[in-house]
Amino acid sequence: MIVEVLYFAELKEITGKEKEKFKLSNSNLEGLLNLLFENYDLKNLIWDEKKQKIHNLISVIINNQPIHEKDPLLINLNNGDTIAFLLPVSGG
Amino acid sequence: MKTNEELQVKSGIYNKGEINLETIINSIRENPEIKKAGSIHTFTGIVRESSVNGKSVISMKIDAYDELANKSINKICETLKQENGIIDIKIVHLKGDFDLSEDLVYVVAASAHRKEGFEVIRKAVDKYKKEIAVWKREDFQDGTSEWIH
Repeated sequence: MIVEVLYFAELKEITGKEKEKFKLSNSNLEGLLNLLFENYDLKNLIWDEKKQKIHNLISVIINNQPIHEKDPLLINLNNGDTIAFLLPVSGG
Repeated sequence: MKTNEELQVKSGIYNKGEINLETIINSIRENPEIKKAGSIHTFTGIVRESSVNGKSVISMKIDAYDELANKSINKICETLKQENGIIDIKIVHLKGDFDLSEDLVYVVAASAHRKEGFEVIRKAVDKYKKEIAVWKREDFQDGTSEWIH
């Protein structure tokens, strides 16, 4: 299964990319997060160690739709999905 | 000669330099209902030389998730257009790299009376700051920078 991740703000700076495709072997978000955390220094931004979930401040967006679940094991992905992890916004 | 449709500016995210305030005002004037308006109000957000913590800012970067931000901006405008006395409202947020005092965002509203116009501009600014997928990074005099959340 291939999915695409869009990067914004700090995430774009840390990865040096606007977007990136990943090949996943499982169908939930945990596999993608593991790959992201192996490749980039993103864990502190995205992951809440105490709760063992995605941090409450992070908005998970799949195919331009917000996902309210924060447990990556409960977030299913499909081939071709586009995923973004958004930090709190700050308009000009 | 441009048609009314060609003069219509859509609210949303634009690259720096792609659009200016005058173009948006002209677009508002093309609204078929403009004769009901008694005032056109504008707000321009620009780059300030100091952060909220008092650090010296020398430049700013704006990043945006265009699809999401455009959806939110249009939702804000559609909601505010329903308010009494509001003829039209447009929000345009720019993205890219900005120097001090450069324009970052425009809100333009036409209203039947000035009171509703001032009020709808305030509401629009409060909403876009909280609800649209846009991020700003302040670059400081001391060589550091920080994404603001």
